[in-house]
Amino acid sequence: MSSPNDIKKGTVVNINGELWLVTYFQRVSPGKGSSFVRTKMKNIKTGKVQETNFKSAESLTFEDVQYKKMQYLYNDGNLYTFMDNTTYEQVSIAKADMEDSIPYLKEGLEANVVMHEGQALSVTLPQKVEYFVVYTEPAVKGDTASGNVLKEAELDNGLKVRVPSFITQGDHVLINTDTGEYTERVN
Amino acid sequence: MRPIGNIIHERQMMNDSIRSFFNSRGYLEVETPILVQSPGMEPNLSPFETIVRESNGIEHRAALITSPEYSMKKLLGHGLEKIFTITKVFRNDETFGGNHNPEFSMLEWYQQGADYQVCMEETEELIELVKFEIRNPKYEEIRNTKFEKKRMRDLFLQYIKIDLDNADCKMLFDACASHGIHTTSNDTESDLFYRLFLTKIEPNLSGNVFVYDYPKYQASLSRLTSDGKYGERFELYMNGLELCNGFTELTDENEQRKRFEEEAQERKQAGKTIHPIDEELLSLLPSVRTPTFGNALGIDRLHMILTGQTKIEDVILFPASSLF
Repeated sequence: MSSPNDIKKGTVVNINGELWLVTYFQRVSPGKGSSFVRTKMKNIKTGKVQETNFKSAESLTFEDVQYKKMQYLYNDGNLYTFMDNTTYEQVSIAKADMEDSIPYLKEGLEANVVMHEGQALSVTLPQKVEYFVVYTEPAVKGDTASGNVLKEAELDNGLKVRVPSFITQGDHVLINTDTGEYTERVN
Repeated sequence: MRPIGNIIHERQMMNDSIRSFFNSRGYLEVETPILVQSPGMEPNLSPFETIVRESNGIEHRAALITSPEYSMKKLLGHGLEKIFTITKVFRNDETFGGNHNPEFSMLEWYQQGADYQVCMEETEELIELVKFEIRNPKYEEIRNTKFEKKRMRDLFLQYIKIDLDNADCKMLFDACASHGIHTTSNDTESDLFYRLFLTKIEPNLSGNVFVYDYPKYQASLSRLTSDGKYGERFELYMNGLELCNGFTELTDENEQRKRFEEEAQERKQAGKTIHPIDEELLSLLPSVRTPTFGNALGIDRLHMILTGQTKIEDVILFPASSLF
């Protein structure tokens, strides 16, 4: 048995025999009474999305899922295909099952595919992913003095993010895939 | 990532306007300890625990405060009438980011001789002033939203169609079932109440809403209403985010001791550290007048709301996610 406090994105919870994939979670501590974990979960079979709140003291059954390191290959309409680099096995995941991750995909990106009984359910990305800047305006002179002025940059996978003004075209940057924000420059 | 210059500037304006608001109303700013022997006793909070060692090797169990409440109430017991503090408070087992950070800034203020209704008015006036100081046309929409007051009982009548005046455990349980809300067999009245609130009411709290009069099992440290069914407690939600928690404070030391003992029992069952009861607080409590109100307001969350941010990381300079 597991505690709701151990829920993460990608956890699969078994509720009365139905499997639910956690896509969002947040702890809630009211001013008084038990604390809760608020989740959004997707039913693996029906695709139904539901908000469920668990009391921290509840015990839950987490379904045993595997997280398989795979590389992103390509997208074909509604399906996104990943490959295991050692076995060359390929799996496809539907767009709706990985909506949050799509803006961060780029060819060759290593991600953890959530596998259950041989079926690919979803994917979780590394928290920080490296991209290179294909286009950004040069910094305006004077802007750099005040430090953190942000400007738009386009990355090699087409993603547009706000970056500090000292970033130039061709720089490599790390982007947080939870928030979509710039975190640091890679030297 | 927001420009740090903006964060610093906004926060300074907020702190300055909070201080001038309270100074102009005759409040005294007080400093309270962060490292104490008895931190908050609330069963759902996990204080950071440590050991204080004197130079002669004598050791004392200690913890970082989860709120300055106990020290503030002792000062009231010493005869201070109107006090406020801006302090760092600490809570372990929190999510990093979103609405939470393990270390955060809290404003607490107390006034003797006034109750929670007066406190709600004052809270609104304070926020209006701080909003006025952070002049940014982008946030006009938030600025112009009026404040509403809603009794918890009315919200339950509206959204769940049950009357909290006589809702027992079974009625709450049935209400959860009819709304398809997940429950467990050992849920208490308080758990069921909160499940309904979280699912059916909180998402509907748009704008600026004071929710007040919590059922007595959620009374916390508040005085009960005259019919004995509710605690004189309120929370302010701004754009759905819980910003503060205020009470007409409980000043009966026997009732306070009873609640501390119940909370210690709940902590024990949850496998949490039981902190010693703060006897100094209990001995000073009878000197606090009735009514007295107190309110605890999260400064970082107010900063988020007034600048249109959705993540606490965007209003603090060193969020936990960058430190650990």
